[in-house]
Amino acid sequence: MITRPRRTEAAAKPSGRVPVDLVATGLRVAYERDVEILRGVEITAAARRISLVIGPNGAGKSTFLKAVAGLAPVTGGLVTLGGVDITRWRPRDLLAHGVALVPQNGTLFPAMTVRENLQMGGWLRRREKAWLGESIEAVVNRFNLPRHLVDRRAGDLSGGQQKLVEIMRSMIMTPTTLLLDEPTAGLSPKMASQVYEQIAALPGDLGVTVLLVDQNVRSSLAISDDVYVLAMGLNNDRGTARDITERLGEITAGWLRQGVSGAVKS
Amino acid sequence: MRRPKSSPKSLLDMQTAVQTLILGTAIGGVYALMGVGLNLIFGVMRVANFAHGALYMIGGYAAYYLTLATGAPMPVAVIGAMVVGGCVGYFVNAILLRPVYRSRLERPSEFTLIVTFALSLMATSAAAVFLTPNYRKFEGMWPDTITLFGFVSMSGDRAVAFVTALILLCALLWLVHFTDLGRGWRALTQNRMGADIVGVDVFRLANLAFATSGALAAAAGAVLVPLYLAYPTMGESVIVKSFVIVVLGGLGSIAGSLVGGFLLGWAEALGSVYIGSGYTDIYGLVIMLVVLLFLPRGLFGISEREV
Amino acid sequence: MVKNIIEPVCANRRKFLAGTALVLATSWSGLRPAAAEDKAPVVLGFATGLSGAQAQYGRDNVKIGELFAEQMNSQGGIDGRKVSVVSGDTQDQPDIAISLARRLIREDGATALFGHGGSGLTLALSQALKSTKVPLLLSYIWGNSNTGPSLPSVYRIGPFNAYVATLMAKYLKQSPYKNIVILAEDTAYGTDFAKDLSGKVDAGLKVETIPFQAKIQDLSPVLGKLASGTQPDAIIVAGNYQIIYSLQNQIPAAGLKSQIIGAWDYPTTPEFWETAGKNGVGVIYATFTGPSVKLTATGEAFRASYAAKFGRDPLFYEYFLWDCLNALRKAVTDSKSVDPAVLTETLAKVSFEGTTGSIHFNQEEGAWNQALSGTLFMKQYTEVKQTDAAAKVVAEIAP
Repeated sequence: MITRPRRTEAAAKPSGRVPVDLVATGLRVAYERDVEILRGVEITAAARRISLVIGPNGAGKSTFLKAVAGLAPVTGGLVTLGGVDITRWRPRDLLAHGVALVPQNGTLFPAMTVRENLQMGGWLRRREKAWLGESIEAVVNRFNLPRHLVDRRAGDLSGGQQKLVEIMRSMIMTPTTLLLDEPTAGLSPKMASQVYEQIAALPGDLGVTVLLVDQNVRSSLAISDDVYVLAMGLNNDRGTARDITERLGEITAGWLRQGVSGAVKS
Repeated sequence: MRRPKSSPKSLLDMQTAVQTLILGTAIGGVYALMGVGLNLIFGVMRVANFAHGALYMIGGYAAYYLTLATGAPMPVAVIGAMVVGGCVGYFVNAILLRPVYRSRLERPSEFTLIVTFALSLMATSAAAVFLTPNYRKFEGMWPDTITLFGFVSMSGDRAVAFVTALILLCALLWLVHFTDLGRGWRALTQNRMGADIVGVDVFRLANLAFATSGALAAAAGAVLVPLYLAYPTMGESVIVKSFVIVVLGGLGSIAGSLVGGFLLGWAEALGSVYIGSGYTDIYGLVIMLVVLLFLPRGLFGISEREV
Repeated sequence: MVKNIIEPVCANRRKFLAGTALVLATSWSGLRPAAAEDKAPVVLGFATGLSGAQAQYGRDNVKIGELFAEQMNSQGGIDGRKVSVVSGDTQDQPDIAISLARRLIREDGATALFGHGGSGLTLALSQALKSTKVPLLLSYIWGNSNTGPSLPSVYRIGPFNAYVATLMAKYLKQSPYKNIVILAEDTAYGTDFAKDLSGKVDAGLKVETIPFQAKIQDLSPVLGKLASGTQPDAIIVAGNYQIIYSLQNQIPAAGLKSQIIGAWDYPTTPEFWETAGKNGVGVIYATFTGPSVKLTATGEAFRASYAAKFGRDPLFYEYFLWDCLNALRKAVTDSKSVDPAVLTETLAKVSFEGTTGSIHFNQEEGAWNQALSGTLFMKQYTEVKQTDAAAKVVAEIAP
């Protein structure tokens, strides 16, 4: 059964919140009439697991994540969180219900210090200063951020550090679900592996359900549990990370063929 | 008396220079107040608010009629004007601009520009029709002429306007840098998407930014009525100056507008005294162009990527 | 930069009506011949500032035009023609003024134009309308170049810069002031006036012109510099906008002890005392109304009807507007025509009793199409909220 709760800040307190599945059923997105980017995508991000969405360029991976986060115009289908309909919810309401988003482009506040950025992460509970302080402290410790960086301007940090701070900021509200879009885009391989290391630990350490969209297929497969392959706005394949890793050559070859012929068969 | 041995002429020249700078500072304080308000809205909402001058005018008239109707002392009139300006600013955004943001327009900022421009025209015309185009004035708190350092002479009302501006500027800086609301505004200024995903309620903060900006503009208009009078087109000259200040200091930078306001005050004062009295408005524009030539983002502008 | 929006709205409505007229063309054209049997009416056109800083004067001008039309119509019109008034707002912008005036002529059939506007705006307007030959009668525009042989349809009744400057130079010669500053706004009015006056004062006087931007709000730095040097004995204020009302306060606040002299009688405007407060006491100003000005019967009749309508006596330049309206009446009755070219020619020859004396138009170098009249009075306020009538006459300068 699907229920529609109130979407207010009152829901922001995560007391007793347990990780639940995030399910997209028949999700459709069209920015313009008749030009559908997603044509009925079915993806389940199971609780406390890392679900990875991969696919060729233009498959609709990022659009899918945006649609779940309420940033793309959903024209059909449902997104539910533990049975609750959260379709078309704005990021603010999603966050209040435990779903955090880290978009692909940098979203830090460059002129603020890292600490202020983390404080902004707790915006919905900004009046609870004591709680916020503790939460920031916990996140800084959890992610082993060097102390001297905490009072540095966020804009002065390296790209990898900025991405880590963004993920840290999304953890301040102790979400149950984290949506990550291309977290290592533009990072050096060394920085990328640090970021993946942190992501990999999220389900185990913090009980977070992770839905990851990534171009960096090999590295992201290494930390994922379930994998969905999208092509031309539709589900193309799915399996466990091990399963997909084994068939990866075949799958990417398929993407190449598709790029040539433009045909889709699922 | 510690009159130096140097020739009286050079002493006089020194005094003129100091006096000009002080008068420029006094004018610059109120300019800064106008500039920061305009820039707050630009930073938070990316809206070039052409109605900013109208809010200045509304503040002037609100203070005038409050004084006229209730005989309230000037501080009360100024606070009253701020309340009126704040409410007008709030509702302009909440009622007129909000539909523009909500609709999926290609370029909402261009529509908001047109809306605010139309509003400012309407306000000016309405004032001319309903309040008559006559010049109005109420007696300031301190109409006497005061003398600073024995040679700088100015109206006490000018000092009152400057001190009021300074107090309000400090209050705004505190609000922006030491409160949650201010942090939210800065977040919106620096990264709109970032503010969105941490759960900032954009509309609510925009309403409050408009209210704050409106209150500041109204305060500027109110404290200047004893000096510059109230009349329907009073906002015309300050709106241009406010935009110069915003560009000079850098889009979205409150500190930049503060510095920009004083720079404009000095440029105008020094320019009209030492270059030519007939081109006052040009000095600010020249300074702006020079700054933009070397610092395209203004003095304290946030870079395009960061914005 | 902020413009009035009422006019464009009206313009749209006019377009809409024009469209409706096209649709209904046949039925409307059937109605027209009936009206054409009457004599063509006299239409008084007022292209004037109805919004912005000087709107009050513009509106009063239109009301005087309406008063004139009422009186004429109650006497059976001018030359048996009905008299009506059409008006529009120039928004103090030359381009808007020109298109407005063209519309008043073409669509509303204005016979002649009257109006109150800046001298620069009026000059642009006069040049743009030259080919229409529609008479333009100026009553209160001081620019020297606003009339001249190259603008045959433009006539002026009332003072102008060179005339006022000549009289004021005479005054300054007999005054105690030796060291004088003219604060002149950067319009044709201010610049011309300052130039004319500096050119006409005696060699013994020191005159310095300090220009300023017409719509500036604050002159304190410039005044401060003036105060720190050798202070001038008198400061002559030649401007039109907000600043001239603020100067009564800004001048003493800068530490200046100089006598303030208004180049025109802005101290008689309703807002003077509200804006100047006690600093208005002592201000001297130039005006053309004074105790020795005797109104003619025409002038008395105008004053009485004006007072009945407005609740106060006319300002001095409003007498000149009335004279302009009468000049048109005389031209229409003399020529029995409302053809613009005929009226322009006739106006050059009219002679009639004006409000303060007999009026005809000179055609001399420097005073073309110009009715020269008026004694300059220099008046001084001696107490707060004094009226023009009660002000002390400091000097009376006959032409």
